[in-house]
Amino acid sequence: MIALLLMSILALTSSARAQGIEDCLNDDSYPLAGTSGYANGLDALRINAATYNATAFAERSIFPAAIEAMKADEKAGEDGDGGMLGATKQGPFSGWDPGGALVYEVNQTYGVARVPVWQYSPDCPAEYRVATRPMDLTSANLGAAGRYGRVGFFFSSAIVYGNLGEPARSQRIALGVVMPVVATYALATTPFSGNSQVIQGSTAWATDFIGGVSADLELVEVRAGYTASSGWYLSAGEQRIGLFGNTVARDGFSRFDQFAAGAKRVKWGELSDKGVGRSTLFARQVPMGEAEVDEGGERVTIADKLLTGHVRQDDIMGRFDIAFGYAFKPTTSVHDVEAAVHSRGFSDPGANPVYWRIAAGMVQLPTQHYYGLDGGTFLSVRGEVLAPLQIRDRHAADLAFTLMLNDEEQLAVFPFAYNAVTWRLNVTGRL
Amino acid sequence: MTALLLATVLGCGTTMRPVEGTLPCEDTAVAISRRTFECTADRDLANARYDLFFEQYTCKTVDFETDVDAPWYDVIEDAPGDWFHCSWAVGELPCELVEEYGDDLDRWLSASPVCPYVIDGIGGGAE
Repeated sequence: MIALLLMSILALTSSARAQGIEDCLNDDSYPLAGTSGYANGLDALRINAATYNATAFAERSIFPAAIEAMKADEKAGEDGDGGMLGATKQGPFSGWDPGGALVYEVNQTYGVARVPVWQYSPDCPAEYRVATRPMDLTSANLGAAGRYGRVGFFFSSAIVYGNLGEPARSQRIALGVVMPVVATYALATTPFSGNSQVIQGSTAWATDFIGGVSADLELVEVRAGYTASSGWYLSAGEQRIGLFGNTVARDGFSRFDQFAAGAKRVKWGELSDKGVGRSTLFARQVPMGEAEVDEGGERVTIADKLLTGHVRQDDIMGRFDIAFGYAFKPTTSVHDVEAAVHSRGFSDPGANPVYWRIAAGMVQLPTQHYYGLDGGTFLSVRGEVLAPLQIRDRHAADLAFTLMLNDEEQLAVFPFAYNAVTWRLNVTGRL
Repeated sequence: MTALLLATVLGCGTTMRPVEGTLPCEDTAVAISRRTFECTADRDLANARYDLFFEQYTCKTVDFETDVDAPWYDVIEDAPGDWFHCSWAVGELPCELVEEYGDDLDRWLSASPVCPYVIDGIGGGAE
């Protein structure tokens, strides 16, 4: 393995040398302020991106995993083995039924923006004196949720790190594998560093986290948390139908730039089992950029918003998914269309060692000249592999790998990241 | 061995792309649009001003390899990004001036002495 790594590094280094670009070093260059690419690169690291990242991660991964863990624990309790920490059910902790999930995820996006740079090393080829380099974006998330009886906690952290890609593509790909690992260590500091945004030369990073409590009110589970970027995160989920809603409130509950609400994976009784599948219907609003306007002599920050409505039908005949999204703001148009085929049981894995899903479709983006975007329709592709692992009793873990091109949710947050490729690794542990 | 092969195949080539010589001009149009949006939150107005820019002006092509000694080079001391000084200066205009200048793009482009070197038609566009 070590020999293979060494061979790879040698191959990558010689590749750069052969192209005569080994002297176009990041240390001998800097991004050109005033260019749209530079501005987009900075926008890619806006705090609202990190905030959205932390909240989307919680909704997508942490809460479902925690609910699954609780269900498994309750089922184990009904089966008579006492559930997790069954021994504590005697005495003062009688009736308490702890359970939870720990989730770790990394996303690596190649080419979220192209940033013009000035390369002043005299040895760098003249044609690359002023050149664009891709900005690659790493986001790493760490989250946990647990519940004791009807009361619980949750924590979701995000670090978004952007850097200019190395001149040699090979080095860039290699760095893209290493950086998510490095970023993981920074995640551990987010409760102490809070939200931050640091830009040093051609690299920058932003962090944010949400910490909060949850309460099971029988029909609905409500969650309230505080984001380090000074906003209140409110979320509610209902299990029988699948209703849900979440938002981030800022400026003393006067701004609700980000929200999602609807119903997901609604089951239509026996029809669902006969091949109709499950339905999802929701609206989502994502802040796209901020403006500072004059209101009565006072500068007020308001956000440009992307408001979309989504309809999905999953597990049609147990194998197919279709999805449709429509944009209401900033312009009205079809937002995305997607069709997918997957292995049977992908949405509710358990028995098989590996599950897969392949999706293809299109995403439509509005004209946004202020980001240097002409808008248009883009092909979207998504491939997923999921490997559930039963570790011991109810303790389980899932390994999931996803490869995405023009994912509609990612483009909602980073509209200038069209035709960027993203890979995602998600590790979920349920206790 | 598969990993090595994959890394070599995928890893060939450079991530860098030479910049088109019209970028300093084109990015000025984007900067006007962006600054309009940042100061007014009016996306339609921001997009309209971008279109207005190309109705009034045409872009000059800068040769980044040879134009180092151009008369306007080093307008700002030790700033080799002078080619983009126009777009940078436009993007830094205070919101009060953005409101005052409105659709008079000639006034926007007076923000930097570099603008006439990368943009053609300044002075004949606005009424």
